[in-house]
Amino acid sequence: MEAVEFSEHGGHVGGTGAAGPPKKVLVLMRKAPYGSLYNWEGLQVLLIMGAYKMQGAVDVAVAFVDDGVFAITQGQDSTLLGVKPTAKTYPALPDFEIDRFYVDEQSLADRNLTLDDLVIKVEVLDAAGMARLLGEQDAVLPF
Amino acid sequence: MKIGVMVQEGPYQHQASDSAWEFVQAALARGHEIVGVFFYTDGVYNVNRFMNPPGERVIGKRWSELGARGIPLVACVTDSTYRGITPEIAVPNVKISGLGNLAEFIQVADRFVTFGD
Repeated sequence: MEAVEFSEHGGHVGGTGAAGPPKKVLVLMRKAPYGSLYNWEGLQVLLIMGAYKMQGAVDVAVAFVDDGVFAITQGQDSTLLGVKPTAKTYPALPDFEIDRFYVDEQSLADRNLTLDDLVIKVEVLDAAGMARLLGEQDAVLPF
Repeated sequence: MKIGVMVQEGPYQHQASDSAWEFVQAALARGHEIVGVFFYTDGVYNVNRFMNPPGERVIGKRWSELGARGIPLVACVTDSTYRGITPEIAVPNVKISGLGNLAEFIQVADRFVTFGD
């Protein structure tokens, strides 16, 4: 077996790939929280990407589309599910250098949600705006 | 072109793992470079060395063979720990390590492709 590591994060912040301009990375939240692990794991990726952003290695944004908008709605209580409430983590993300949040306008409207229902301040994008945002990225990570 | 890959679903249950493997094969055949494959969430099950499907493709072995060709294969250490994937259980040529590897694959890749649900 090849070398197997059990380091906390692996890799090296600002390591081998740091040369050149920062890669533009968008984490795309598409799924409701709790039904699957996708949203939670996307959050873990965001926290790591924040560490790389601090080193100037990547530029990170988050977009919420489809049922992904439910991840940032107010009033969540997941105690009966026995899992951590994802909505509590999002307001803390700016402390990890993650502070660009976008929401798809139609996804909000389809679910009868407004900006007042959300736990973070977001920029609302129409379909063309969302397409532009996606097109600007070096990497889109869908969750 | 340098391409990074992430796999978010396990073997046999979901098409994502097969699609990712076929994608890597096709990319290599066209002369592209795969900078790494990151197995995330249930994707870590792809590196279980005890898969033994009678008369079927052995997904773990297939990934391991790609690793033997020098393509970095990394299974997320946290998700592996959650799911009982230990170094003793993993196929050869796979590293169990952290999300930092994902960030590094993205940094060096020209394109990054995710296979999941």
